[in-house]
Amino acid sequence: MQKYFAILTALFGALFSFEVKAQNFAMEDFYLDNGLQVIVIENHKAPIVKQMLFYKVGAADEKAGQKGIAHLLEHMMFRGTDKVEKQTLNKVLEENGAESNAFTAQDVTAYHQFLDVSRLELAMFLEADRMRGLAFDEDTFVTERDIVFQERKQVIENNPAAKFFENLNKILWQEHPYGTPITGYDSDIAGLSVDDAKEFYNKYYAPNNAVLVLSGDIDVKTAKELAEKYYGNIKATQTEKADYPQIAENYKARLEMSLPDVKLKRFVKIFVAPSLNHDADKVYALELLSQYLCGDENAPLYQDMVVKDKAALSIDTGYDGVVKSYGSFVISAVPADINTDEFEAKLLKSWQRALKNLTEEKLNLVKRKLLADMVYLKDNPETLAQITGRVAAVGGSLEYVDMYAEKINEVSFDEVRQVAEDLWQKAPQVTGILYPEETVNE
Amino acid sequence: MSKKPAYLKTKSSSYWVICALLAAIAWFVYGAGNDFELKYLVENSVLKNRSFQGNVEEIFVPSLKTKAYFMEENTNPLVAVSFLFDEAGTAYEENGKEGLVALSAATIKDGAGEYSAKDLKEQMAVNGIKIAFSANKDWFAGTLVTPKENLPQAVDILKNILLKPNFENEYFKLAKAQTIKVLKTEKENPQKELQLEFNKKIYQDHPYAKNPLGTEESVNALKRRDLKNFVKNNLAKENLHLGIAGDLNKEEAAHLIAGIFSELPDKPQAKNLPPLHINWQQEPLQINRKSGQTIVTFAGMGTCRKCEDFYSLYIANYIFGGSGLNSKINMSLREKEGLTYGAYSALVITNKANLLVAGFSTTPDNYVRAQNMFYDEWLNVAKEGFSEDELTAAKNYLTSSYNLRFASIDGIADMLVMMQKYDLGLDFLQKRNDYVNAVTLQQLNDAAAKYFTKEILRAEIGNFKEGN
Repeated sequence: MQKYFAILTALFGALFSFEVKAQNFAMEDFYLDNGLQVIVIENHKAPIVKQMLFYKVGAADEKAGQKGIAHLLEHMMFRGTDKVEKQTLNKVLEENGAESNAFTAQDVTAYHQFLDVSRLELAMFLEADRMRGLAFDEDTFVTERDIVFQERKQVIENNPAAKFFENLNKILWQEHPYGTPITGYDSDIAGLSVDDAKEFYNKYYAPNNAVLVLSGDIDVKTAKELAEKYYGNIKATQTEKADYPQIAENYKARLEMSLPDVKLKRFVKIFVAPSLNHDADKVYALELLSQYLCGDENAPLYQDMVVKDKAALSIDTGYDGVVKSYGSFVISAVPADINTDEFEAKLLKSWQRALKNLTEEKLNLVKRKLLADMVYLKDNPETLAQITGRVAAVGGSLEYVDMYAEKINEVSFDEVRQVAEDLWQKAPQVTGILYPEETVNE
Repeated sequence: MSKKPAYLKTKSSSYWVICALLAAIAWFVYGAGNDFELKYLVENSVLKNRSFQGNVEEIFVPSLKTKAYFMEENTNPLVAVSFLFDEAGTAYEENGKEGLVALSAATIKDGAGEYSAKDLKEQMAVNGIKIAFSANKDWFAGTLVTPKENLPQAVDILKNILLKPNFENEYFKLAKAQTIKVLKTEKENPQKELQLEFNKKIYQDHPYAKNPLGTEESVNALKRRDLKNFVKNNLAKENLHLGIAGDLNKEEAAHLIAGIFSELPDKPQAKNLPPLHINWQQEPLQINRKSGQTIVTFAGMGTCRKCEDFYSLYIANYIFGGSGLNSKINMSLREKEGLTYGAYSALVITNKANLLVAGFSTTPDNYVRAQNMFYDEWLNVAKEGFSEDELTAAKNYLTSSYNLRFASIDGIADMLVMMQKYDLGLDFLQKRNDYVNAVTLQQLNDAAAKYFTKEILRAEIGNFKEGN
């Protein structure tokens, strides 16, 4: 519904805003004429505010030959604009007490500042200014490309297990862009040019392709005035949406590898799963499934595998459905000193037993646990800004946040069982085992 | 910050007209640099002049023999209690019991009093009660955060944990196995390997040098009885610091802490760490290992939290490498030349040692250049000092970021505990920005000359054999 109105306002420029009243949180959203979605989350504990600007573009939108450009552009965004001189952005924000940073994901790129509310206008001015006015000079680009290269070395090569996870993703996602690392590979980075960055920027950095979140000591009326003042005069442009390849059901792959310097055996199983944009009605059941299986130390998968069977020293599950394309469900474990086949047989048995033992009563308890923590979202203004911004930026409805408790409570235990069965039986999946080098033949 | 004249206080349309006029005049007069425009945005912000209303109060509960700091904060129905037992950290372990404190922190919630480990965790999860323990070289600490409505249950659970932990055997054995596994795998991470080895070099035979997780042998030898004794002998009223924040009044807060902590023993077991003498004249430590980057780390002498030159060095560190991308060392190594993803410096303050540490990582081809530039910048700070502009910019950051410390309720409770641990006084929050602003350029540069010296220790890990 909100998306529909976004298109309307962008097309006709007729409405100032469209509002959806929050149910559980002091939260509202509206659109500027240029299509910028603005989410305001009121939290008046302290005179501080988080500004987050999410662009609905990330590494997954890169075309071949430009892998890594979304992330490199994110770095360039700190280097200066036509109005704000080279190097002064960080300096100005810092002198004004801001914690400022940015991140690039497969689907979104976000720029954010956490600062005293008296400095919000400054931060809004700077953020709006770099939406269209970024300066691109060759020398700066080359330096920033070197930094990104160092970043990849530091984050990936100083971590011996990272190569395993990159390979695992590649095998699972195949031609889908989620299979390529966000930084790009070394050779990709070296081949990027300032023109690539400019092209990407011009195409995707626009108000109608962005979500602004203001979370903290600000009311909706002031937020509207300020959003209009700083972002209102930026023109909308035509942007593109990525076209994601399908991943065939029943795709099952396996990766066993050993790497130097790895001392700890790892087991990882990743399933391609529904998301807010793909079988959205199953998202809540999957969140409950993850919480049920491994949400705490009393959860059945942990109890079975770690406490009773001692097949693993640790085990965890995670589900991420707040993405544009397919979601993912992950089981990760540190197996104890047992044979891999035996470990996998025990895992399957524990998974099946947990689902067989699931009752309405148990599910109610899981729901209670999952929802008991929601009160903390009202504490630090940063948390809800991050969650809400990401949901909106991948095209999800704010209902996901606002109506979360209601939606979770509606899930039946048959639905949880069904999503679990679909995952294990039908979902595209990869199983990976990483061995310390010396034990590869065990 | 300048105050708005009275006629500008209502945000009427005439306010905007006047602002626009002023801006236009200023633009004309000053030639319209960005600098003016940006300052103008702050000085005329519609959201200025708001301040945090929190007030720190002292609570004295006779049965506790210790004072607590408290801040009432009613925005959300949440309560946070932060507690710290000083001189109960890993460095204070007896010989042969290495790993005891870390293992206690990891397993102290595994059953307590009438609660089985499972019951206890279930009650916490269902009621949104968060209890977490941690330890470092000096202290054993914990935090409780709970929705106010579940406070009675939270109090009962935490009290049982502190007074009657059971360390259930099944979980105890599991935690030992996990610790030993972690010990075996610590060297996967070159950064971790470097840190552990560098600690040995800095602290030599002092207990600060040891691995906080212990050794495989010492962890294997630990018994549940050891953990119970640790809790009984170290979690006492006399070495306890307490911070409470949240949706309750002073009387309720006093009642709350009396309920949790008043049955603790009065005194902890007496313990003393040997004095620490660091030999600043050692050769660099070089560890050979195949890796994509060389990681370099430094340590020099620092200052104590209550020392006279604390704020001077605090600001000096901030300008040199504590402030992120805009710091001197990052401007030089990262922003100008792209030699590293990041360089840093930091102050380390512990009971027995105060250090100024720094570091960076870079690919082997950049190693020599980055290393030389680092030393140039470091020594130049001592020789040339900082500029008035740098000092002003640092003060601006440190004072205008002040309110961010009130972002979360558990963060506030932790801060209250640190105020006591370092004896900063009940009025610290009112005075903190004055302390920062009082530092003069002379004091700053005296600190720079005293601490940014040639006497720094260095350790590095990387592929040295194949040439750097």
